Amino acid sequence: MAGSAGSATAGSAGSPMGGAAGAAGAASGGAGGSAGSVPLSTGGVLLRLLTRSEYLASLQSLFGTVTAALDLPEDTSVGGFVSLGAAKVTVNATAADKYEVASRAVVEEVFGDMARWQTLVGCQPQANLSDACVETFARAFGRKAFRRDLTDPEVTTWVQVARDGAVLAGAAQHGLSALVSGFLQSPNFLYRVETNALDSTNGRLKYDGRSMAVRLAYFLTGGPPSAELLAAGESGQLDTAAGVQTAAASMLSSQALVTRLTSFFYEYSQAELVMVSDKDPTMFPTFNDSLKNSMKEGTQLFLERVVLAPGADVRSFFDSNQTFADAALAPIYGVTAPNSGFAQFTLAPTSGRVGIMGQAAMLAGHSKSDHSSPTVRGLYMMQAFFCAVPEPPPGNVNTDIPDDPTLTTRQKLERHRSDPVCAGCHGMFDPMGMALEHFDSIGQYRETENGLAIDSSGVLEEGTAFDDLVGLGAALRASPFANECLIRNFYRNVNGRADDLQDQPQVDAMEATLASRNYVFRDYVADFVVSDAFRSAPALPLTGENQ
Amino acid sequence: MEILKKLRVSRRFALQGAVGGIGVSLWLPVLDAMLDDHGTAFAQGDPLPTSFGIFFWGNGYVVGDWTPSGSGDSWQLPTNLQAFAELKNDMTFVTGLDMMDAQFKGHGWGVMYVLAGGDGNIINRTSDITRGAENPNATQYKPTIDQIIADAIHTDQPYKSLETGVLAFKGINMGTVSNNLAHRGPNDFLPPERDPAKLFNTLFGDGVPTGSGGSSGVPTDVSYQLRRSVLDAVWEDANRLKGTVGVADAQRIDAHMESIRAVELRIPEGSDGGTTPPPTGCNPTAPAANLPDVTAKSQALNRLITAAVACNMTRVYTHLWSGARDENTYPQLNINRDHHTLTHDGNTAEHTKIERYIMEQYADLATVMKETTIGASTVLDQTLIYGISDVAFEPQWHVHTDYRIVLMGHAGGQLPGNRHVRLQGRKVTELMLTMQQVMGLNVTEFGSWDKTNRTISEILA
Repeated sequence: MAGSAGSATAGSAGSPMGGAAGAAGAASGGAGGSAGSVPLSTGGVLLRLLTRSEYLASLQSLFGTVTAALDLPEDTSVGGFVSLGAAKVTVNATAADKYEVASRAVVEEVFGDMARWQTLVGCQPQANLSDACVETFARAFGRKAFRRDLTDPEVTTWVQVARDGAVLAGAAQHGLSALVSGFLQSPNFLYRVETNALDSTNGRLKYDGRSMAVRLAYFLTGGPPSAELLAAGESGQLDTAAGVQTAAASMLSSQALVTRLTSFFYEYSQAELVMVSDKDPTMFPTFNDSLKNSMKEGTQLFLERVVLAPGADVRSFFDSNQTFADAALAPIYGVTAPNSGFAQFTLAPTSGRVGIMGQAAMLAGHSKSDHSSPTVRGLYMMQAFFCAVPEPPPGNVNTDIPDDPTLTTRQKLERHRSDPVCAGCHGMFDPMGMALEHFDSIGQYRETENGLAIDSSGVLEEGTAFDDLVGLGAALRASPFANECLIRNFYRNVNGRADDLQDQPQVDAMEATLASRNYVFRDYVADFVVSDAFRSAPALPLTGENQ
Repeated sequence: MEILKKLRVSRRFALQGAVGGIGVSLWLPVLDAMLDDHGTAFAQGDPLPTSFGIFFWGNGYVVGDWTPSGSGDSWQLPTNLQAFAELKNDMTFVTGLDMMDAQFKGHGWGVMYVLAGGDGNIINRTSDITRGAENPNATQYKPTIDQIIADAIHTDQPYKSLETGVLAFKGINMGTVSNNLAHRGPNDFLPPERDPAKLFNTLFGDGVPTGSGGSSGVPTDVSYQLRRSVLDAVWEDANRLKGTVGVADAQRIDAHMESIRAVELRIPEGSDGGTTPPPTGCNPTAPAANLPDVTAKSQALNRLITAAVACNMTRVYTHLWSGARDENTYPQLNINRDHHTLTHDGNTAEHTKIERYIMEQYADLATVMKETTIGASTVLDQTLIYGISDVAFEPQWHVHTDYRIVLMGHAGGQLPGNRHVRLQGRKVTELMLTMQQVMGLNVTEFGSWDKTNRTISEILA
């Protein structure tokens, strides 16, 4: 096998992926090598497992609409993003089983309809598939499924599977459906295979044209590359920034991109937590699945139509006074229920509510079942908005917060924080959580808690003071740290790669570009896809726990 | 062990047979056809297979309510284990074991320790731990003990190991350990199936409706052959891809290739044309879809786990009741505050209720196994279940001191049971090493945190 640990040699040309073999993991291997200098990678092949939505989009591109119910493996979130998980997890036996069952369900549907499978295959084979039709189909269909041409040994393998199947089962479609079922289980389909190689002009690992086609398509559309894009990549058109710009133009203006960016911000916000959150039914009788769904949809609309609206400043994520509500959400936001569906509202300054943290889904999802939690909310903001991960509480600390009805949550926490052991970390994130104390466990505004006035003021770690969520939103908008952290998360998400210090120049450049685009995120993405941050990767492997 | 090969249960056979209730009392002894006249061994003299399981729940236990009176054979169950009153003879209750220097570190590290014996760095003080475990990147860095045992004792059961669970994780994300127990390495985990209907379909069904659509007219045996040939070609594809990638991805592909083989093994041998007599009794009826409440789900899963073991479909099973630091509420007990918060708010009444409830579910599993016979023996006689939580706790905060460990079953007579073994200051890794030896592994040391070559013979006959 190519790619032995510790070596950084370029692999053989003409491997199926046409890339330098082995070196992607070689630099991180270093097994047996002495500590000290880590060899620079010269590039290699990276595998990113299709997420569920990418799998379904890929299926759609192969077969059109598939109605069979598919029980696909769950996505795995690592570091907050399933794209990072997809670059790390393995296909365990359970997942392989699910892929096998799903592939059979798909071919049951497609090959159960003679007109449908004959259209798919595109030629009329003999019953035993002894003619050339099966090979023609294997090459054409395989190119779409694997996002590259099949090698001759691959064609031989799969044509044999189809022919044996046709003979064994006595009909052409059984052999062809076996072949299709196999392609859907092949790692060449299940993984996005991305290949890069050292670019001597900048010392970075540049993705080859075919990989750029794959990267552009899955990033901008959520699905595989079109035939034209793949051909453009293979012909070298995507080797230059100008070529990428031209090829990406139509994708950049499509609604699919808005959907993709919305899903990034949604994942970043962790608003999905509301869907698994339980509340005390005696305290919050209206909190049911229907309300959870409204909260989720309202937040998705906020992201899509406010934060990512044409011309919108992405920092509205932190401080916008716009929100979406339906009849279920209207009482929570204190707005008049729309006649049907969702409507957009401008929140009154007296509502005290702005930005993503004012969304009911966020407030309810980052709370306990029966009380708000400044700690949970503050910890989320510290990790998501400041990219800081505090140490967990030290051992043998009494974390008991007495249930005292004569105190506000703030007062209880402040007593707790009088312990200097706790104050170190809680002093960093609790104040941000305190800014949300006017919102209860399902996100309803409250003037008092336990009959006592609520104090929602605080100071950010970087020094900015605020009185409440409105002030916190403004502080976050103005914070260079929060802006950098947002763009850092975007970088991680798109590349499926955690980051460390060697990524800092890219993150800095991205931040500057975003500012130059007046913080209009959709405009910024056009610059991002032609930048090194997207077209290449650092040559040093990740260090420490970021690996 | 040639005989075990013949025990492989085909799904085809599993689908045949008279209607059997999910109630285990209706099952016939699965392996009777192959047993000797006494029902104590296979006709050829090989002993009955043993099995290993884990029952894990998060957030530990109130130590005081888990303290039995007496020790050795003259002991009384502690208050929170009363659900095992009828199973006391099958229990070995181990108390007193610590994690390293017993300094508290956190849930994530607890789960790394009690399931995998540490993260691979050889240390014995919690202050020397270098890897984070309570963050969204957390994972197990070493294989969990169930996977170590599965790799060693698996022959050709269709499932090398079976992963089930009940409560989907809620709370602060701790990476892959939040929602998964079984790990084979970093980010290489086996997710638990929490839906009894899906589990049934996986174990005893075919996954896909057949007899219509593309496979119309294809005999079952032929479709099995087709599936196997497809998987062989998929494996070839994976093998070719492996040659092009770096070390880390090559390991991922290796695991993937192993998974492909595992799926292949689950496809029944269709070519025997029914010459092997079908094992009787492996025909539990399907549980209802969308069972209404957690207790009903738990009971259905317990019966399916037992069926899988009884039918020799697997020899290793893990059941993840809830994850470490779990924040589920228990509305079925009228408890609407989350479990983890309850462990810190000084109200022991409610989390005692939760603990007793969880132990009722564990006791239900053991009861079903006790009622399910294999010849003259029972599943519980032949199995060993490691009942463990990530941490212990005093009334208001957690500790890694004095773990309470509920071992159930006799592992083919090796654990006499009805015993409280109290070993203060000894380590959980010693018990984990002992359990591996009980399961027949030829190992003499275990663990990276508290690496040990010491065993706990006190649990043995």
